[in-house]
Amino acid sequence: MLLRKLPMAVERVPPRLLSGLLALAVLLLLVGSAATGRVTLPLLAAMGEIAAGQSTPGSIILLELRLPRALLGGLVGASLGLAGAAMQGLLRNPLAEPGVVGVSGLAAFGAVVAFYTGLSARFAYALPLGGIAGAFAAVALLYALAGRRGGLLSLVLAGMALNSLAGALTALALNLSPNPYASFEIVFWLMGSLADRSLGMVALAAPPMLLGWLLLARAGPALDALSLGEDTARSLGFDLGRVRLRIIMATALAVGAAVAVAGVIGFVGLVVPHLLRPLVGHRPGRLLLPSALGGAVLVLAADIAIRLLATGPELKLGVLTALLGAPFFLWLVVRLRGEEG
Amino acid sequence: MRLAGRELTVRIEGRTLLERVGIEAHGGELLGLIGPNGAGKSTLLRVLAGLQEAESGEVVCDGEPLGRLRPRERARRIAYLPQDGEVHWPLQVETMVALGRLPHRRVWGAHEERDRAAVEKALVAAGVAGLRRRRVSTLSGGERMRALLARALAVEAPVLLADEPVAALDPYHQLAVMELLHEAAGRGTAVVVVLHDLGLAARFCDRLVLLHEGRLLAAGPPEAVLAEDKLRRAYRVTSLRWRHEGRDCIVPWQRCDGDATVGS
Repeated sequence: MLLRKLPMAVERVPPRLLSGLLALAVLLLLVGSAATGRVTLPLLAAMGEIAAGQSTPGSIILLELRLPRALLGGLVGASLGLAGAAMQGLLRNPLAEPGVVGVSGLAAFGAVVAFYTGLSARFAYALPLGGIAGAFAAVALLYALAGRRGGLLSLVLAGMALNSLAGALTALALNLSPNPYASFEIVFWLMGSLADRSLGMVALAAPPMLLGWLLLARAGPALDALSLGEDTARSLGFDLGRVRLRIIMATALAVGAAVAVAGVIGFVGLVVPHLLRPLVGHRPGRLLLPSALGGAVLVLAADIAIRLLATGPELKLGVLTALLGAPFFLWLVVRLRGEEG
Repeated sequence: MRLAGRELTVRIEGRTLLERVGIEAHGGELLGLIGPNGAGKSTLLRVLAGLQEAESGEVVCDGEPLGRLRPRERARRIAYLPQDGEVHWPLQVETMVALGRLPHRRVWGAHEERDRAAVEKALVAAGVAGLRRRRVSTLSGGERMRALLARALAVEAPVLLADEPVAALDPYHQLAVMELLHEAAGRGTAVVVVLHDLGLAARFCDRLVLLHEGRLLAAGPPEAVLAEDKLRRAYRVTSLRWRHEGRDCIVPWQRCDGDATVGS
């Protein structure tokens, strides 16, 4: 209701201005993320040392701790924001978010399987591939269960079923694990974090994410058309079979890879598109790029915040986003129910 | 422009929805598609729009089989307005109408001037220019249908197919929408409209096609298709009829089964 009362002028933010501002924020936050941590790091000096090939404490901290964390924050955030916007457009449902509807959960299960079977130890790409396979299965199932009509309730129920399934399967894997220490590590990993990731992880996750982004780059017009329903979208010249497959694959690539390296960071794909939607006139196609940038902004900012909050053991990023996101989700459900009834 | 379906047969899960139906729509003509519930009107319209495959028979658009056109090319030739008219996001009217330009889009966004002009023309033609900043979700039923129609008009396709656009409207808006379709035909578009209201069919359509149980029962000028015996057979009703301003007026009056009138 609140958003409806905003002046119409808000709807007319020029798309380039919006994306430009968000991109600027991403850049600033990337620098901010690299500058934030337990020790104060003279960034410029450390960069100079890296460029000169010197191995100083500063250059090691920047290259092996701060840089991967900042880069992953941007990549993971953009992937989650973009995937949320794309799924919402495809399913025509503002609640479709990778974490909420079980896509991240099944991706996590896929990654856990790759980890447990020892596949990821022998073949590094098994980890993101496991995540992508899990995410693909989830999005495809979700579409089959709740995609056609885009009803609110059927989507939430399907998501609940998928989330329970993912939870049960992951618990089973942990349960059967011969090594309790490894399960402990997995539980922490599942909470979602960007801490202590290496540049190798970035190299592992970035290619599938970028491929997913690329697949979504031209999906905008089809998503716009889908806001008028499937028949009208087809009558406007879109091959829906191909559109669906493309978006499902892209979402799986982006979310699967993100979850495989960062665990489950929920609600980013829910909150970000929702906040930006009015600024692009509610057009699902126009929402894609701003949501990717906004997702990066949110994740980078949250990841900086947990380092600034001096809690004992560092708060996990996924825990923070869930703490903030879950009430938001509830509020959105209540509001949408009001509109439906 | 000429859109023709020949010998169209559609079967879904063993049920025959259409059986060897032929239909022809010409530019400049308002063609009404009538028949009782379940007669196959919407199915026929979807087949003509290329949204539903026919088991046999073919649809030809200006000499070219519809199946051989690329989706985008088909979309430029045939605009389709479905029965339910869903709009999923709180889009503004103008934004929604502009979606009708999607079949004409270019990768680098050329033709913007032409698109804007087409949207403006459609908004004015449908009488919703004053509502352009309103959200579709806040419109009344009649306003909403006119806005949806503006979206279909914005395609500027030579063929316009509309599925029951007046079914849920009050008389004022029924007349408004029918006038709109009539005007579109007057501008040279081939308009095919599915109708339940026989009075509106008689009043506005140049030609009618009457379907009954998936078959073609009659086709031709309204006064021939709406003949008493045909309505009895297809709809199982008797009707009142008179002439006014040179056109047939018709009001369904009483149910009848076979020759026996029900309830009298």
